[in-house]
Amino acid sequence: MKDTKDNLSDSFLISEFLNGDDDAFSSIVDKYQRKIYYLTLRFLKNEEAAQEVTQETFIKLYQNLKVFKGKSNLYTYIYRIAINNCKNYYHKELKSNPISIYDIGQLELASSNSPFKILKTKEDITRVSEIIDRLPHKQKTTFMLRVFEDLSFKEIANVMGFSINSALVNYHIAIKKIIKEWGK
Amino acid sequence: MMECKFNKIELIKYAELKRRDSFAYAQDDSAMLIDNEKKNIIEQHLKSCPSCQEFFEAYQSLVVDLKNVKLKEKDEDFWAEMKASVFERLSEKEMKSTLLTKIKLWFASQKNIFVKILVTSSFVFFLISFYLSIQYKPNGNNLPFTHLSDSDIDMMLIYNGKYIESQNLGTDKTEQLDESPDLISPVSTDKNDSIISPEDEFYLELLNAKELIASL
Repeated sequence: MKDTKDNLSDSFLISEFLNGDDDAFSSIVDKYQRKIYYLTLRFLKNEEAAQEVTQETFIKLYQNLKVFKGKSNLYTYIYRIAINNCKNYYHKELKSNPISIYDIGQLELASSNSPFKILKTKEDITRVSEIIDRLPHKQKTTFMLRVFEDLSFKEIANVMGFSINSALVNYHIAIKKIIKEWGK
Repeated sequence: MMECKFNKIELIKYAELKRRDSFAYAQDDSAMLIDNEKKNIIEQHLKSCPSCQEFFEAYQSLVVDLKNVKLKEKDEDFWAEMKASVFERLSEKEMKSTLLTKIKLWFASQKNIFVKILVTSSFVFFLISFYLSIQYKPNGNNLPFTHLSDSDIDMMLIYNGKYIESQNLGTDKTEQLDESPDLISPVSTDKNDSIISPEDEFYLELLNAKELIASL
């Protein structure tokens, strides 16, 4: 997903931050806040919740960056924090008041070249998004990271903390369930 | 339609090969790669199996269509506000940052386990020393038995006297109490005949100390 130059610049930003340069952290926020916001928005389907979780993600990143060992890429590290935050936020705040309808006002159907178009209307998007929501956490997250974030299975495995094969199997099961549910 | 037993993971890999551009595909993990032989097998199978063909098309459509569902872009003000909120909340947290948090961070940042063990054991040693110094002040009032009142000490001495009496004198308690003070400090010169236990010695020293303090 990332080229070498981006990775280098991440490590440069981290080392600058560790040397006490807060502007480096500001650059990290600039670089990743859009991705994290849209990821959390897709997960939580609530703008306020997504803003809250995105901010919390960067706060946790700031607190943990001092002990970041660099074993994984910075962006997979941020994704991991964001996904854990989403999970916690969902269980604490949203589960008692679940948002059942995808806020389609935020969505646009872009033109697709797919010859076998499934999602023709906004109602179709709502339906498929509800199917995705019903998936178990691991399957849902794997599916979303692959489809929306275009992460490789190795990166997904890093974010989720399991093996590449587990990522692949979770993705496969998620796809099978979605297609099966869609066909009903 | 009967569901085909053909490995759907292989179908997904093939679909990903078709879906992703060559750069993204090259970046992908080896787990996703399929060789030409496998690719030919899948293509042959897809031609002859309607069930797998349906799955393959549904998969492609689902993923492509979902990727094309865009969330509305936010303007630059939104991102500026978001960043400002992050820094605002960070400064609030920094203000509230406790010593404990700093210690935790320091511990997490230490790579050498021996340093961690050394610091932890020093801290525990300090805590124990501090506790003991409070409990047993050398010139304070916290020595054992010093919390006892004068009457308590008298009672101990009476008990001491009774003990002596029951062992050697054969007199009752009343008689013992009436005896002269010599009786309650019966230091025998004969070692074999010694009836003074270390405990008794301590009580007697305590009495002496009490008298000394009283004389001052």
